[in-house]
Amino acid sequence: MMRGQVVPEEARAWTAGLLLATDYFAHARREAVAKASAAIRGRLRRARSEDRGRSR
Amino acid sequence: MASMPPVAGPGPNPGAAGVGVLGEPVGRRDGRRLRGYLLAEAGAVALGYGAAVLRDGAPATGGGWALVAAGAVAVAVPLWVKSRRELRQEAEARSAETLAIETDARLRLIVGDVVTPIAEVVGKVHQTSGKGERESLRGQLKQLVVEAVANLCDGERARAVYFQLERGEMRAAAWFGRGDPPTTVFTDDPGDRRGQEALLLVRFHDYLLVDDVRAEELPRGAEPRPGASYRSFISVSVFCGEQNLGMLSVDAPEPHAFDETDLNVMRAMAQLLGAGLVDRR
Repeated sequence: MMRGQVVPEEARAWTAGLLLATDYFAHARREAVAKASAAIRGRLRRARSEDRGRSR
Repeated sequence: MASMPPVAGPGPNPGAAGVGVLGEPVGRRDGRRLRGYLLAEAGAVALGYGAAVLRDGAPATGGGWALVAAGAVAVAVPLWVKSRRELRQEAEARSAETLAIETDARLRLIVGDVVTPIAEVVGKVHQTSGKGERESLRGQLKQLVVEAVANLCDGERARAVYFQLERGEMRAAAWFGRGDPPTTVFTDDPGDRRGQEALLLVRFHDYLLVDDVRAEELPRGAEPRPGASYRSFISVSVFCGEQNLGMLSVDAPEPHAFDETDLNVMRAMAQLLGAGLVDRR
């Protein structure tokens, strides 16, 4: 299950001018890369285990 | 889509791509494991070959030694070829994984971290009843869009500018990125060919992507102003329905800084901006 804010607090802080664009994007980029890395590695792991299951 | 630039510059960070949960790069860890397997395989083969040779006793003649050496080479060559092939395949898989991570991260950044909060601001612009507050939100929206564009488009040291159309002229209303504030004013004067073409681009709701202003044969009026610091740029008309509002541009000092994905980001951002700036009729 996943639940969260549609527009997160840090995004609101950026749109309200309370957070510098450089800081916001540096943080957002780090988060995006970490989440993407976990997601892609998870997908690859699932694909590998499915391949192993098929080859048995 | 071009590769992801570093954290400090616009675009996502290649250095962090592929970093494992514990902080160790995934590709490096996998590469070490594969090299370990290959070394173990080579060691086992060498041991087996050595045992087979020694079982019959050390060769007594030079011809016998030559035969042993030839046998060793014959065993080593396929092993070497196989290890090279496996290492190459592993490197290819690693770069494919890194590319997939970069693409996924970029999508998350564009949709989740930029379009979503900017769409909220667009909604607020139209909900606000006071004229002063609406204009303030519009000013904020213009600034958010140029900040987003400069950070999302791949050019290193990119600069994004929103030129607002007012009384037949376009002036910079918001900018972000490298260099000094933009001073260009696009006019319809007969002597201002660049201005005329920029205004036509807005009027026809067009976009223009130029890979290299020095290398390409450019359409008339698309050439850079003298002394310009950029080599590549994208310009997109900002409009909503029939209302022409201005032009959103991003440029970079290096050629081929932008690709079709950047163009699509620009088109989406220009439309978001247009939706926020359009007057209620």
